[in-house]
Amino acid sequence: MANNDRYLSGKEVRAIAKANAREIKRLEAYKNRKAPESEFLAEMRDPSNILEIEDLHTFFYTEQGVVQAVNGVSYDVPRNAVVGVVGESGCGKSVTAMSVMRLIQGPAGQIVDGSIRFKAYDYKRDAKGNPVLKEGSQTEYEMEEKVYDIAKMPVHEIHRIRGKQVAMIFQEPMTSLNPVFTIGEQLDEVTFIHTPGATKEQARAKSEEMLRLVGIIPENVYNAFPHELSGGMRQRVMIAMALAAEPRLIIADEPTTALDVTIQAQILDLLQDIKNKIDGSILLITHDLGVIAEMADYVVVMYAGKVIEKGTVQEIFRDPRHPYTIGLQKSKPTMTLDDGTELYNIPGNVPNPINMPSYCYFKERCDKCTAKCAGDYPCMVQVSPTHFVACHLYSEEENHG
Amino acid sequence: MIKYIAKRLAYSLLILLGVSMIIYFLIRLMPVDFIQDKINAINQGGATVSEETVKAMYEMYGLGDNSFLGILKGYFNWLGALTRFDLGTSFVYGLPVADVIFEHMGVSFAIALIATIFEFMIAIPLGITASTHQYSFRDYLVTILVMIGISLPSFFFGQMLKDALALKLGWFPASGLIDATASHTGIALLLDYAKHVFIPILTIVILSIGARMRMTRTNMLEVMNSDYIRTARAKGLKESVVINKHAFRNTLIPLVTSLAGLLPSLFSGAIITEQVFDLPGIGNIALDAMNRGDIPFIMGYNMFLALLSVLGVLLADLMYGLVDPRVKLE
Repeated sequence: MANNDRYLSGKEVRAIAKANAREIKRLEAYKNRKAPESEFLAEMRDPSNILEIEDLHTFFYTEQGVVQAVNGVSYDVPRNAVVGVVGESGCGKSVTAMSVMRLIQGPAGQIVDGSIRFKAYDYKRDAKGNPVLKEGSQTEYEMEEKVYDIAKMPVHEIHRIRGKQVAMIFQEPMTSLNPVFTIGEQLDEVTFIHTPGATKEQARAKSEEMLRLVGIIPENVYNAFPHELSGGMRQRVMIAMALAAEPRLIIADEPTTALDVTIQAQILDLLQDIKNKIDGSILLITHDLGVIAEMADYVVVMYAGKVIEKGTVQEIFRDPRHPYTIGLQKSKPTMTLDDGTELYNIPGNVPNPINMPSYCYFKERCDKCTAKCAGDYPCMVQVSPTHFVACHLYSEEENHG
Repeated sequence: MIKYIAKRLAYSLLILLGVSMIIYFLIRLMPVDFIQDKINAINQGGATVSEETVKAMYEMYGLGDNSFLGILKGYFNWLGALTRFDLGTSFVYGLPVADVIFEHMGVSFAIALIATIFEFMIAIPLGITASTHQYSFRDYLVTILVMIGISLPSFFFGQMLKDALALKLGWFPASGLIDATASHTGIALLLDYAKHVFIPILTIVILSIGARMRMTRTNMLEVMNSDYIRTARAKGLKESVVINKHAFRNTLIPLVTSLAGLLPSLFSGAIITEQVFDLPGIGNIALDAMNRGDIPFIMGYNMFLALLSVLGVLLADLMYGLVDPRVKLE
């Protein structure tokens, strides 16, 4: 988003470019450094979680200035749970997910600060970083559970988690498959990467099993090219691809946005179905509250690069606290609302991401604004053991209680 | 597939017919008169040529009638001979045009082929590195260097290289194709050729890598920013596999387009470079023929290139079918 407030002078543009180049150089060097495993091992705060994002900052260094796309986001994904992340376009929900996969497009996009702790089930490694063989075996390796801090991993170690531990389903099924390789080739590849010594037959058997799991008859599709399939079919293939390595966490980044309504329902049914079949967690990113209500166990509401409310799905839907969440619930079209009244919408716009105010980002649009809102950005307030909200309305409540 | 090729070849024939017509009429309109030049040369020698002889000569060369009908007649004469696979006799060399073309083709083709191979070998890796390190020092350095290459005119840069490497340093011969003072055979002859064509090839390579490098870089960047590359990375593939397998296969598609132009360029000869280094290549000969109004040769040479162009485009279309599964030829 451009800085619309005013025109930048040549001097300012050069100053920004210089500052950006310095920061990017530092962060790229950090990303490409060589580091022993101990440097990116961590401990989980809560052992029942599989993913803990804490105070994550992901910035984009643009010519107009630094866009703070993700600005201090923290949330957890418990084991075998579905966590839904909602928020409007550009609120940083996808960027957070991309940060977990370390797929932020550099050099402009960089993870600046924070940690992404992920509990992986990976090869046990010796002091030199080589996998340890099982005693008395030549082909099988010792496995162990360990916690990686993905934000601190050097870039060449990322293959330890990508695909194998965390898989991702993208928003655009039409363009997410490589047009020059067949579906079979692209699916088999996943098995080849993550199962050392897999034969062609094993890979094919695995791919066909995955295709059947997502409701595709493998014979029809295995040798087809992506352009021969419809959007819904391609998204099914993407899901099959994500599942092929049996990851512990699947990130579904708006998996139904690009599909038409009937196909959306099918894909959601499929995800629901898969959720019960696999032993893993799903991080579901969407701006569709209906999808969240149906699928998620926990909900995270994001606004302008920050988490403003999080809790269980009941808490967020039955008892929303943040004025933005309340506004979101009100702006949801319902079947019963047919008395001709206009659908509610939250007034105003998101602040400019380059010049974020120091006070609450929602202040200008909030109908419950108090004098306190002009002060510092509100901290997270705990309203129940699982329910958190970042709003001054409740911090006062806390003080009185 | 065979039906498709047959259909395309039939269209090609029509295109070639049109091309030949345009070239023939343009040549006949050119302000160059082979006969007049010849007579001037004789006159300068002190002899005089009678009016009748001049007229007879014009008739003999088929250039007597410069009206529209006369040119048309000349064209159909040429076309008639062509159907008997006869390209006619070169005015300047007095030999069949086909023989002249093939005699000088070898040098030009060898130079162009070697230069093209080097061009690809240097430009493609440079383009890939520039794109994978976009906006880095390396990217700017490569871009600046190849831009200098693109911007230099070949007659100037060739001359500079000749001056430096041949005249000042004396490492290579300055011009020609063989050392006339020695009679080499076998390997020695080959080495002699190599020494003579080194600077011309160097000139061509340096001047041409720029465009190809920039093209590779642009294609690569476009591909690297696409969604399926993100998918490939998300799978857990190593970056080298992402680039060399998933990205490279897709950059082949626009590369095929440039192959269409490659076929004629291999045979057309480098007119200016050949001129600078005085190489007996087809480009040099063609320029000479153009200056002297050698109509059968110009026709033969241009039609040969037209044929190669048409075939090059057909070949590129067939290649699309191979590298891009979305393209169906029918």
